[in-house]
Amino acid sequence: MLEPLMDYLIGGLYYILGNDTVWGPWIRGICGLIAMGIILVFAMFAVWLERKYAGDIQSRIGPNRVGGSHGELQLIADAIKLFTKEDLKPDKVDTPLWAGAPILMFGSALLMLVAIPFGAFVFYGRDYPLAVTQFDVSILYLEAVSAIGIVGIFMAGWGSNNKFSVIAAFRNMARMIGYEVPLGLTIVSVAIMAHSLNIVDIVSAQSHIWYVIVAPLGFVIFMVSLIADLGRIPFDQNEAEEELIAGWATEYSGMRFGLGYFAEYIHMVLGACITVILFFGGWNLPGILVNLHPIFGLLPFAWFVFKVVLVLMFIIMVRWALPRIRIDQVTTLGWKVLLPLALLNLAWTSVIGVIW
Amino acid sequence: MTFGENFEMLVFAVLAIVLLFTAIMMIASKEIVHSALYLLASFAAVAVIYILTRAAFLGIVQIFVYIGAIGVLILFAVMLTTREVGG
Repeated sequence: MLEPLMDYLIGGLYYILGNDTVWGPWIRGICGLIAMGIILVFAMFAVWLERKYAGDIQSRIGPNRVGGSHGELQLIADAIKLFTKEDLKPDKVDTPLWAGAPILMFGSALLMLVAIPFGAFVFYGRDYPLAVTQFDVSILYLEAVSAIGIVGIFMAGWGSNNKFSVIAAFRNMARMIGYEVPLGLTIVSVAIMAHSLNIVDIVSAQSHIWYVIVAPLGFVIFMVSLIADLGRIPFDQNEAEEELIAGWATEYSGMRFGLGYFAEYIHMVLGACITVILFFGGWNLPGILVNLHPIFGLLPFAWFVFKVVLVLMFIIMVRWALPRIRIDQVTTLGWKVLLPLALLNLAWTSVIGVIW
Repeated sequence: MTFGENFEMLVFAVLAIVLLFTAIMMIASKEIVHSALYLLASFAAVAVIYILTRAAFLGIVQIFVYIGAIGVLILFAVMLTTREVGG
């Protein structure tokens, strides 16, 4: 009784979303706006998690005043502070570059959002991914639009007309050029194993075994490159506050700074999502979450979010547990260690891809 | 023409104007960083035109290779040059 009804409903919805009808793009656009709202809330959660977790690691309490003893509403207070601050524009900045940079960084983070499936509904053995849009080369798309963020940081650094900002942008580019290559190679290795560049296919290819078990080396390279890509300690040479004041963010105040700051956290959340999708089987739990009654249809979504939070906590832990390394050490690690290892991993996964 | 085709023509017209404007500004602007960024903007416009003509893979590779690699390399090279004071 229930099965044909659900089939009819969901099938109809997917027909509208997947086809070029007049309403399809509008509905997808609304879904995209909803996803934007959700990811902003999730990014705020990530900021709160980071502050509490950092407090735990450093044996202090962390935010504990606003909204209960755990400081749950601290981020609302911070956001109000950012919104109401004076919007200072330094005298000799290159205005279009300086003003456009946070927009570009935020836009790059939001562009990544549309291709990521945040879990799936599972009804009678069929997966219905919760993605705003799906296309054949979605993992390539994610890589491509995340690279736009580099241009944003460059514009911030150059447009600020400030030597600290320029040094920060320069370091950022040197690091990004070095780490995009191993990151891309590990993504290619996963695509080889899954025989597809589509994220949904990559997830369903892991329904028997996760790729972190098949290619642990690739996972390590991916994780290091991802943390470098996010520009977090030990790779935050572009913000090194002891040397460069605040890096590219030196001349920004109020919500302009807030946009860049939030873009970094959205990038972190989405990076954790990509890690889970590529190496931890997305919403799959091999052998268990395959043939569910529709009542438990949202269980894979919860499982996905749980894994994303675990990966987020790992990234945060790395930030507060390790010291910052020097910029020449960063580039050396990228080009002389990670790139050869990534090529080795590519060879290994090619063999796996041929065998399977 | 249907609504979709009309909308496509509109998007194409906007993109064409953006592409021509950024390409001309790339040559006309005085500062080399602005030139480089206008070049990137024109790459982006070309990528969106590719996607508009149902060549999504080509468009994404255009973003990946031209903006992500070549554009960043150009900006990297520009940063190594000295900047004239007041220029």
